[in-house]
Amino acid sequence: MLEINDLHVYYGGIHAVKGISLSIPQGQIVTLIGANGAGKSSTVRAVAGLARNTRGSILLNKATILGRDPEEIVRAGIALSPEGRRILPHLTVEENLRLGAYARNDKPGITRDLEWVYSLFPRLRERLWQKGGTLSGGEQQMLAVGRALMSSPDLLMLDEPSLGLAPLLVREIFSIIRQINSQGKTVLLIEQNAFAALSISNYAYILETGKIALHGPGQELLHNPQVKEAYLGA
Amino acid sequence: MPAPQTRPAYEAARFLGAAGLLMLALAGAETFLDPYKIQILNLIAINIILALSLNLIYGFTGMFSLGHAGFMAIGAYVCSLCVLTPAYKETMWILEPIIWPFSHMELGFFPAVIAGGICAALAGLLIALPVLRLGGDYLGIATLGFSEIIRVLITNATPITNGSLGIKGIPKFSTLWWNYGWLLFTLYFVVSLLRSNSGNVLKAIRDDQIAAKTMGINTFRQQALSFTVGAFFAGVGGALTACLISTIDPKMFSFLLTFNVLMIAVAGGLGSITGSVVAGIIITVLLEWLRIVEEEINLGFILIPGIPGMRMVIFSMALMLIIIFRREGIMGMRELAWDTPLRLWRRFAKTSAPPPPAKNFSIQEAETMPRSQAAIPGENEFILELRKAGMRFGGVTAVKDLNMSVKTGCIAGFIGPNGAGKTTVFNLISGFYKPTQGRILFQGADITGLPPHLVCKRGIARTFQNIRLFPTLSALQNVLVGFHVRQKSQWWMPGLQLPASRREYAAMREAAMRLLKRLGLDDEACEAAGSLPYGKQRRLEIARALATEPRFLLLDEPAAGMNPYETQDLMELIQDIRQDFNLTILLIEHDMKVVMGVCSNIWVLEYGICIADGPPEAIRNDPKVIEAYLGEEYMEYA
Repeated sequence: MLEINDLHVYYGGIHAVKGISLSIPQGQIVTLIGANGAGKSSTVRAVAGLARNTRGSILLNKATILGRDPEEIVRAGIALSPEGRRILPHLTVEENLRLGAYARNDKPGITRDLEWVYSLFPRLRERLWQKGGTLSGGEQQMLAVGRALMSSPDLLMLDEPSLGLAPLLVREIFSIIRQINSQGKTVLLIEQNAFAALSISNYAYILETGKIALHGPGQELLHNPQVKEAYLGA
Repeated sequence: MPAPQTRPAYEAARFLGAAGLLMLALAGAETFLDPYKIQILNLIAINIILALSLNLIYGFTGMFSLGHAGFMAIGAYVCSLCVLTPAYKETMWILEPIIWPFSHMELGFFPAVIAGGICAALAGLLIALPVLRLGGDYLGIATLGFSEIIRVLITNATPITNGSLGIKGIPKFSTLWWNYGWLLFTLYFVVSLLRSNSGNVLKAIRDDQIAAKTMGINTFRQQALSFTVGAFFAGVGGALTACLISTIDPKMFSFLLTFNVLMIAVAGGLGSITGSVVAGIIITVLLEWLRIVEEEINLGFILIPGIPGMRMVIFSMALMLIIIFRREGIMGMRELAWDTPLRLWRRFAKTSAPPPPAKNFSIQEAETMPRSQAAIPGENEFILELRKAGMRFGGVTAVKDLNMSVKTGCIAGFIGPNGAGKTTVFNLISGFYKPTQGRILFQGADITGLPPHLVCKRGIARTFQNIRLFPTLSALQNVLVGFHVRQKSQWWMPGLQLPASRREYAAMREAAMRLLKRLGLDDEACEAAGSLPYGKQRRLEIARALATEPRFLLLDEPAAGMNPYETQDLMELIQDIRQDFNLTILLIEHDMKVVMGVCSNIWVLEYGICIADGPPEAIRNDPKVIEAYLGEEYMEYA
């Protein structure tokens, strides 16, 4: 579904991604793992059209999307729940979610997805009328994930969705990701919680200083001694 | 590597050398140039003074101010009233006679300029008190209004200002020597202020006011200070202008004048001193040179009639182009330095000057200071106590009846579902919210409702969930801002080159470097905090908090976004700094490995109410906590 070939991303004079290639097959969960600064976020930013200084190629269903504007990429079916949440602080929870569906026209579908997001995150329904900026950190994280879902994407990219969530919710968010995936959506996941992420992934790539150091099926990496030592804290 | 420090003697020699060169140049100019060119040189000096004063307010402290014409008017009128002779004033005021004491006062030129500056500064202070609480655009609108009010006041205060007729025949005291003398003084003062820790503090306020408050900075006081100093130099600029062009009237001090100054400051680069100097020269010269576009131009075959005001059209367009294509101006925030080539060579050769010897300004020493009211065990068993503390926002109760006693010297944890009110409690303790209920005691003293900077002074430091560093400041400067709260030197001292304040700054730099080294950030000391990778930003935020010499440290999700390996490092770091800096730590964290691993006592919050507290083993097995927070499968999952 998504093919990345020899992608380079430069970011403020830093060569953040140094030629990575990866592919995300339809209907799978693919995870990027790596230390802070390894280039994970830069990669998804490039896919979302937010990184300006790039080289290489990104193909979505064989059509090139590198260099296109972020809003076109959303319409092409890719949504991002970004690092740092980036919710709209002065809009209410519901307005934030509805804006996620800005590129859609199917009213019944939007209403259905809104209900779906509220059922995934009941906490958001409790805060319906509250402004985004007054939510706690973890609630904002839920809102960011929910907003990404509202564009009804084919490919959902989640940049550290479990960041700042309580343990109970961390578990829940991974089961939600599975649930989203089982409804036919492809997921590209960035996580620091490597154990949980690898457990639910079909395939995973490990990034080190802008390059792919290792890749393989999630279960396989989970039992790889190198990975265990460096990322699972065994 | 930290930037090598230059020795005071060398610096003084350099300054005197430059001043000498300038004097030679001025003497030359006076002898060889015609009066028109000398006039332009004079305008350059005054424009640079004005641009520097605006840059201090806007570029370095981040306060968008459009009141410059008002301050200049005050300076110009006060100075003119002072330098004119009583006899002359008697004859000049024809609409209404001039009233006492203005009719009788007479001062020399130098004291008159000072008086103009001081009156402008007073007006600045007066306007600062109510409007500085506004921020951003509102401040711009308020100061613009102030400037117009001053103009209207001057127009109508005829017995003092001669009304709309203005004042004519002001003696032309503003010679090259005076103007460039004032320029040198302004440069010297502004540069020493900005190079001292006060400069770091002002820039910190510009970058992030909330974070600056947690560093113990009274942001309002610092902003008022910068605004007042800026107004002083604007007043001086106005006074010099009056004595240069010898005629002033209220129409002169319209918004257009502010716009001119703004244009120089923006074109040069907000936050760059040399930028203001360079742009001051270029724009003043261009403004004169472009007079040709306002005159008739005869191209031989066609006669273009002169269009008055064409210059400003061109300049406004140039300003728009700058904003569109090079928003940071000619210099951005960079500076041209005497030793730029030297520094480049040094970087090339990878040598560095040895750090200057300095008195130790250490955390240990700080402990012997009276302020720490040494935490004697037994006397204050609990360093922090919350007694029935609560917080309501409108109808929403965020925290209710929270009782909490944190033992001195321990590491305590604070957990609970998202939105339970944990960060709200941090904001209550650190003074960002005033509790609507209950009391907060720190080291036995009531700190309920103290503003953040005073809470910091008492010895409470914090970090933020979303990291709030001063992004444009270097890592070293970030830490130096933290030292400000314990600093003894005052803001006006750097200009006097007092050895004590010099030594203190050097000592602070050393202590800051040690602190950075302690947290493994010494290689990044000179890098902008905003460009550091995430993990290092987290560490730097802790270093900065430690610089305020806290007894009590609040960490809001320190392990968020870290992988297990980095988390392990962090746990060791937390335990080490507690030991080394003799701290008590309270942390919010969702990573149970951290909470269970380092905390000796844990409080659990749900819907603003404490549902459990106790040691980790008890919390881990508490059915209420498992249900609300950890989840049934927590054990196998972790």
